[in-house]
Amino acid sequence: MSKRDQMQCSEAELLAMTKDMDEMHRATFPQMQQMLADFGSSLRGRASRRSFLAGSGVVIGGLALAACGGDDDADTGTGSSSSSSSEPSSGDGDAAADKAGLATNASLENLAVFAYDSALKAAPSGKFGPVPPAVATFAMTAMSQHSEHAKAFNAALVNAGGKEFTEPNPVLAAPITEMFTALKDLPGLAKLALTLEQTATQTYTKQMGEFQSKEALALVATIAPVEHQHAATLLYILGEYPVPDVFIKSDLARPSSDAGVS
Amino acid sequence: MEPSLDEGRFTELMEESQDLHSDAMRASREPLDAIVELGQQRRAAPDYADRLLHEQQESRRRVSRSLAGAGLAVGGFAAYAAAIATPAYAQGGTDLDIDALQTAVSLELLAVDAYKTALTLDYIRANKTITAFAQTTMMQHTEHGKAFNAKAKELGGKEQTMTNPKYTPVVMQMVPALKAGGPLDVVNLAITLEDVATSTYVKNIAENVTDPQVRNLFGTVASVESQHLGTLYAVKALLEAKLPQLITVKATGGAVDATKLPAAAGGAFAQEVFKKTDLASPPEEGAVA
Repeated sequence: MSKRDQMQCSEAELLAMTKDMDEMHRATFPQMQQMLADFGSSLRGRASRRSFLAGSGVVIGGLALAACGGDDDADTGTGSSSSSSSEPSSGDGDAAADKAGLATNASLENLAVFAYDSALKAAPSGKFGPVPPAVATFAMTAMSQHSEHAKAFNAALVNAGGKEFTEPNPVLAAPITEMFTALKDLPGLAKLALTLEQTATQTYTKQMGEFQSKEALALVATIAPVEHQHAATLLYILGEYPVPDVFIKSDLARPSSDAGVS
Repeated sequence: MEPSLDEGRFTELMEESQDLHSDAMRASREPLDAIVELGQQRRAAPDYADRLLHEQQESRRRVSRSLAGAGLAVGGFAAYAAAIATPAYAQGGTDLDIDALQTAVSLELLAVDAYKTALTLDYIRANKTITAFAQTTMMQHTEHGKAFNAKAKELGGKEQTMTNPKYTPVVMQMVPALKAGGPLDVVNLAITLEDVATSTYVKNIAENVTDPQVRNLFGTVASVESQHLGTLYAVKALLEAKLPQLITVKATGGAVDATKLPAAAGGAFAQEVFKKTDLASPPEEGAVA
């Protein structure tokens, strides 16, 4: 069977699809960039505002000052012993927890990108049998969107003074890789992808009751519905009803500690 | 809103999709019960009131300073202003939390009525899968409305029993055109209603609601609405491509033959990289006085 037969979708078509998606992303991403600029300042203000201001002398825009200003009162009276230290001060546990969660979210997005990318690369060899064009489009779309989500979570971490988390989820990477290697058909691949999408949705939904920063909440709130639309697509491709649950479950949700960032 | 409903036919349709409903209902109970239980445990904690008061004060102070410092009057300003101006607390959440929950109920009730109306239309009943979707989605919106009302009452608010005041007249006005129209007209209306609901809940989580349990409830519902929205996008794409036979699942007429789907269908469900909130209703829109 030829490469064309297996993929049912030419590389030129895939490239054209990618171009269209990039244009769509560029139309949406500026809104997120603005949100992320606000986001970093807020987290930074909560976690180590004094050390940040003293250490860098840099504040990103007026909105950053306004958002950071909210913690001035909270800082008063906590002493100055931690002002030049990276150690979180009193009340900083929430911000640290938010950052840990955001790193874990980046790791889940990286894992999804890895999985879709691996699938698209393996498809021409016939590993999954023939891949219909609509499935290829979905894989490209989902991979691209997960990539943007990873960028958003990582940009938030960097803005907050943290480091980008560029690796796949440390807890899930090995078992997912093992499962991927064992795959032999398209339904198996779709089920694996479905698990990843549901894991992301459930993790972000759980965090909506845990995160403290409004900006962190905005990230998970705007991304979770998109992951769940990916899940709906996969269910439909599998022949299942695309909206099976009345409420989002939480049995697959990952803890914020997954990425090992504290 | 009082849709013109063929009760007999509707009952029959409901029975036909009982299996789908039963599965979905079973799936709904566990997380809803867990949310209620978590809320009860949280409220039973000795320091709950103090912690909640602290959370609310911190939230209001941050919002106030962000707005004052940045001089911004962005979308949702009314919600921010209401949050800052409202001094009262009702057991567990702020008045704004209760408003948001009541508005959510009003959107859910409108969606229920809209799908009920759709189910009276011959051209909707002609497609088994679209009929099952309308029935199941209507049931899911009913459950969402119940959950939001239960939470609003738990926080000391009144039950919302009316459909959304802003969108109900719009939907009512469209009913004659829907009767004379076709599936795409219904799908387009449903897309708008699902998008309004999803956008509203996303914005509530991000900006308006302060009680973590309420945020979590909005989160567990928002993504389900987003699946309704995505499914409707896909149905619309297939109807426009004159491929209604591909609107099918195992439970209604057999699994779709993915090889026959147009390439674009793979990207139809998820059309936004980040869920936009342009259509979000403000928390007070459907609040009960």
